Amino acid sequence: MTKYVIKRILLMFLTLFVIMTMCFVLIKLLPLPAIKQMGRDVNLVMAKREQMGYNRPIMVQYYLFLKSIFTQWDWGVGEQMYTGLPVWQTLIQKLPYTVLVNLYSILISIPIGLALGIFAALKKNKWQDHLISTMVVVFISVPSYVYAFVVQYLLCFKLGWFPLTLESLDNARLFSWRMFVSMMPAILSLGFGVVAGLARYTRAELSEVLTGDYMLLARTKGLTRAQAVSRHALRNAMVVILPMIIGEFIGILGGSLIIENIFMIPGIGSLYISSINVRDYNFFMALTVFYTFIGLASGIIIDISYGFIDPRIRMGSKK
Amino acid sequence: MGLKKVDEYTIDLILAAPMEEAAFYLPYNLTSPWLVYEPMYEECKSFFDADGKAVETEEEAETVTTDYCRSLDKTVSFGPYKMTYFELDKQISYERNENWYGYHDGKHLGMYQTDNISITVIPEHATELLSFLSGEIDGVSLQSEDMEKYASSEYIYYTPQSYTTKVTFNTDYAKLLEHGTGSQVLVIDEFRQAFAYAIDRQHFATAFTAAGTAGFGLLNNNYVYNPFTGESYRGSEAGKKAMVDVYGLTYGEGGDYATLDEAYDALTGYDMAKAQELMAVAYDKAVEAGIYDGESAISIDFRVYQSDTIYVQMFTYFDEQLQEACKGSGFEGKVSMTMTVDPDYYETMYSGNADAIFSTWGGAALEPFTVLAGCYTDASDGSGNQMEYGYDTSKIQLTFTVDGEDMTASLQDWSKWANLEEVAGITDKLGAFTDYSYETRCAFTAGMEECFLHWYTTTPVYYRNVAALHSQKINLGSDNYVELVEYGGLEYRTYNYDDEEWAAYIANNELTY
Amino acid sequence: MMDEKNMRDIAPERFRFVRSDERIHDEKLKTKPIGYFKDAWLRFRKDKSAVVAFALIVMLMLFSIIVPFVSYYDVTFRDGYYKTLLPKLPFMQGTGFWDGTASQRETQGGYDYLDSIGVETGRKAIVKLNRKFEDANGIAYYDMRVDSYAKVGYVYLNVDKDQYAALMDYQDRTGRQVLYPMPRTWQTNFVMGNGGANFWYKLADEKATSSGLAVRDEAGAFVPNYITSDDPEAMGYGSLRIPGDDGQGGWYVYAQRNQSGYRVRVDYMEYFRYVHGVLPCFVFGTNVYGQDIFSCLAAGGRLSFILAISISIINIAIGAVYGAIEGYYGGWVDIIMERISDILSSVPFIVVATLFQMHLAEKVGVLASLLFAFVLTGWVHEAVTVRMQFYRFKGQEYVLAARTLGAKDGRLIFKHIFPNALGTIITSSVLSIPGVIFSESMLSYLHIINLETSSLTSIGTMLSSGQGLLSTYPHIILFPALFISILEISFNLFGNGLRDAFNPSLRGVDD
Repeated sequence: MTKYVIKRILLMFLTLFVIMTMCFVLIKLLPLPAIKQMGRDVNLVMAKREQMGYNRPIMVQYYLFLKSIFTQWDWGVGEQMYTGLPVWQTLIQKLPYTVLVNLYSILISIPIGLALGIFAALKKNKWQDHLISTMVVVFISVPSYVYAFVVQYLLCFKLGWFPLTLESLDNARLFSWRMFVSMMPAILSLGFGVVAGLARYTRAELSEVLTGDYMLLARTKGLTRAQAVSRHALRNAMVVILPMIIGEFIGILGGSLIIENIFMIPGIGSLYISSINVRDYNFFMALTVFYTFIGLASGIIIDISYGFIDPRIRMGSKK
Repeated sequence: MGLKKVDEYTIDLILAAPMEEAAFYLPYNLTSPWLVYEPMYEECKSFFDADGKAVETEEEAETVTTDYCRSLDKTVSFGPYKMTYFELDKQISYERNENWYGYHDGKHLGMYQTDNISITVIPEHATELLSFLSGEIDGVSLQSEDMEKYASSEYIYYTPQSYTTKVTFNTDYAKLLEHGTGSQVLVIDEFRQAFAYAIDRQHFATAFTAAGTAGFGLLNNNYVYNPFTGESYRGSEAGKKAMVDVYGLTYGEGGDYATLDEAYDALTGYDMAKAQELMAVAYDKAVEAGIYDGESAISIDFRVYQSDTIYVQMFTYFDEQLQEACKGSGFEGKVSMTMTVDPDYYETMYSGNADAIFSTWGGAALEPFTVLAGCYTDASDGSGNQMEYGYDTSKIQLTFTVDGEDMTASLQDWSKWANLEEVAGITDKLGAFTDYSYETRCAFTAGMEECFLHWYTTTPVYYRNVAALHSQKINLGSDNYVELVEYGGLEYRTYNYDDEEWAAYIANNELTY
Repeated sequence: MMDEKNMRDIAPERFRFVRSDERIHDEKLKTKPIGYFKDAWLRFRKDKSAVVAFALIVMLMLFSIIVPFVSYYDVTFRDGYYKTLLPKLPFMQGTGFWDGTASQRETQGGYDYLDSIGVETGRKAIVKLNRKFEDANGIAYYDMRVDSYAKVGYVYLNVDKDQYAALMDYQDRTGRQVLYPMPRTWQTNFVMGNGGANFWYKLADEKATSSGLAVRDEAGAFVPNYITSDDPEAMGYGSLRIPGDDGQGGWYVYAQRNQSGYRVRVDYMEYFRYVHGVLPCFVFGTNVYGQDIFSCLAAGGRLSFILAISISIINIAIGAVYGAIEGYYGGWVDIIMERISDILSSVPFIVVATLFQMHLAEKVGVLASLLFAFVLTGWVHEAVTVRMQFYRFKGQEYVLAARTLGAKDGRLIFKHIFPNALGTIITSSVLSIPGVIFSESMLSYLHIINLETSSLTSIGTMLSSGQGLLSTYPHIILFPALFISILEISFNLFGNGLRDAFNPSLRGVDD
């Protein structure tokens, strides 16, 4: 088991490295942004660029880049945007917002999604099931920014339940109730999709499990329906669902760009878009590595948790 | 020339040449002083040698960088307000700085009634508007889609800006040929002139901008040539004459209109028939000179900052009008425009790699005379143009008749002279620009503007204005726009509600604007 | 206990046939044998929601294809003044629903402005005044129902001599008044009201450059502020005159000369009819740039469908082949190929899309680079599915049998194993189509790509341009959002149905 885990982690770093190299080369191949000539001394900018090594061959630049990461954990400073600010510090400063919003939304959505899914599976093909299934399908299909806007307009503006925009750290501490309330609209918008996905998945898995023979056995043994479901069916369904939950969390970190924009959350999503648009290499590289890492890590965690949870799948080597 | 410290609170400004109307220009130019807090400033410096390694002292250093005022703890405020909170991309907060001298010198009574200022970053305009309507923020600027709803509101105010948005062409033959799209026809004057005549600026301003008005000149209606009387440059006789001449209207004896004023009032810059005539001439010229083979397709590359729908709309309008102007001439059906997204489009134009771009320039409203040098004729490296690649103003000759005598110099030289630089050949004969009366200065500037525009390398399209709403909480210092002071700014703003009253007010009432 | 001798010597008479009257054979098959696809089709038909979903998809496709033939407008149509008009069905006029009207609240100045429109033409902007009230500050407000089409009112136009003559000719021929008298705002210092064209009446503040209170006479009517002249033929006007223009106090002037020819003031709706031949009526309304949402939606739908379907097909082609090779050969080939596809699929999609945009957009166009980006990341999913299937079926006996009989690899792959995977392939490709449309709309929304040119538009662009106006003009985002939501829902249900249909193990489960 441990051997498998180690092998997967090593593989992940290999993939990460390959992707990092590819992205670095690709973005360096693009022509340097032209020096803005207004109000700036062109020579000064050229000198700084020389100092930062832009005129050297790409592979040398890559080597320098890696060296500065591994020796000092210095991901560089922003050049086109947030000029002069260190990349890593800026990222760390913005990361809590994104992570918090996602965390809250997962924490709230998981119970709701599970409950809905279980309920629908138990009442399969009855009207409750159809109702829930329809809602699920609707929430999965409508683009998230559309109902983000509807949420903002209805709940924040018309009804006034939540503030329109996020509180700043000046007015409320990060973990305070006030901050949480102001995050609510964003949490809801993100959460709808998660709830829907989870409910649908749970319903599918659970209903499949409910038709298994051992369920029949459990009933004939004398367990009530509730006992049979909770002791046997749920456990088996969880095997599949739990990894999905973990994957959801990590995956959602990469998907909240638009929500952050709408609700004014200064997280890392908008940072990424801006870095692409203005071609700031350092931010772009750092964020690409971050997102890729998240994607890969979620894959690994799902696999490993499969191994832990399901005794049948203690992974050895593949045949 | 320099500054000399006289004592703890006095500085002597030493000028290179005596300055006219010093009492007026000096305070105007000193509105953003350059005082720093020395201990902090020295602390923030970092020194690097030629290889980029950090060194200790200034003597060893090749480059010196500073991060003074780059973060909250390194910022020192010495004005009426001080910064108390800074969060990147989120919020900046200010509160009253009790140490400011103005609160104690008795000269600012009743001003600066604001206690706290909070600036919040809201990237989405829709969120901003909702925030405003629910009373969370106190001001919002309007975009074109909001104008229809709020234009008649009690709380709207317009701020004219001193910018003119224009379309600028590249006229360097060699560079255009390199592009390989046939755009070298842009070197033909009549081609560009036809474009200038093919745009209905009034329609453009109404259809595509929020509060813009049709623009015909490099300087818009905002510029004042005589700060003591407030007379506008554009409305002066010289200013009007320049416009009328550029757009081909004649007046007086044998002209289309009786008087200059009538001609100016009739100005639209839009004459499709004339545009088509000019295109026909341009075609013949191009073919004759061997610039164009008469057959191949021509595509003019128009660069924009980002691919917003509004740019697409504007671009499509230009494309349609250009093609309309080509009808009836040899160019018909062969000319089109393509739009390219290029966030660095200014730089692309500087290096001559674009065919056409939007360029927007403006200067200070009270200094129309230096706009030409500052924005058009003098690049930082001394070359004769800034954005109008290929149009070298140091080679364009312009003649003024001063006191009966003709004087000819390059357009660049004239504009430098107006920019208070010493120009050999002009300063020795005519003296300093500031020697002349305001009317004369105005006439000079108008003449330069007309000369510049006569080449149609750049075509003004619209003048910019900004429309904004202020919340019911606020009373602006002035109901009308006043030069330099605008609507009173923070200095004269007063409030109808304080924070608690306002919170109660918005809780109980729905805000209507 | 029997001894051996007895066992061998059992008399033949002690045996008798159990059943000699019947023939023994297998039971006849009660049902006819049906092929794989027929079986799938039957199962699909039973799933009602999938069938409905499929019908919806077909309807949306038909919508996208047929609209250009049916609608007067197309995606290049753009009107500078008919912006953000509300949806209007011609036969719903007057009902208050889907007829281009909406509630609006205005102060006195705004009310005067709207009230004045229609005095000259008879086509009123205010359909119904609901109530008038005063707020805490003493400012009067009016709540009313306003027709967004009539609200545009009048517009100043620069026309040359030929167009001027043509307009007058049209007026004479049809008897419809298009040109209206010029008010004193014709030089347009006005910032609003179509450059002042709607301010034909006297304002209380003479120097006003934007709206303000109107001056009313004793009867409460507006006081005209036209330019007058002693010459009834001023500016060469010889056509219809509006009622009230009778020469007393001067004749109204219907044009002014300027550089372009003439400045005229037209009733925009009549002018629209003059230019296009029909009165304006936009079924889904117009967006903030004056484009007809109905036609744009169809165009965007077309683009989305074509893009998504072609991407799916390309992905199937590449993925299937790749997965087949991987799955069939296994071993080292498999491991290497899997590494490659793993790496490719780990790159975040946004990165791929943007990098392709930046590198390729100038050379091959936005659409092609988007296609490349989608294909590059999309085929991996197909390959994985196909590989799965291959692993499942590779070890089956019939494959072994075929190989023993001498079938070559290619034949085995495509004739024996592949058809089993076909169902899953089709299902997964169908289910990936909404994902493509979604991603495209997200990229458009974030302005990473812009598929909009003068003759193209995409659903994502429509959504992003409408989203800023959700609170003021929700209809702009409503229709594209409905379109994309229905599309997604239908594809999801359809895909589910397909998946169940192609799953032979479900045969007989729900009977």
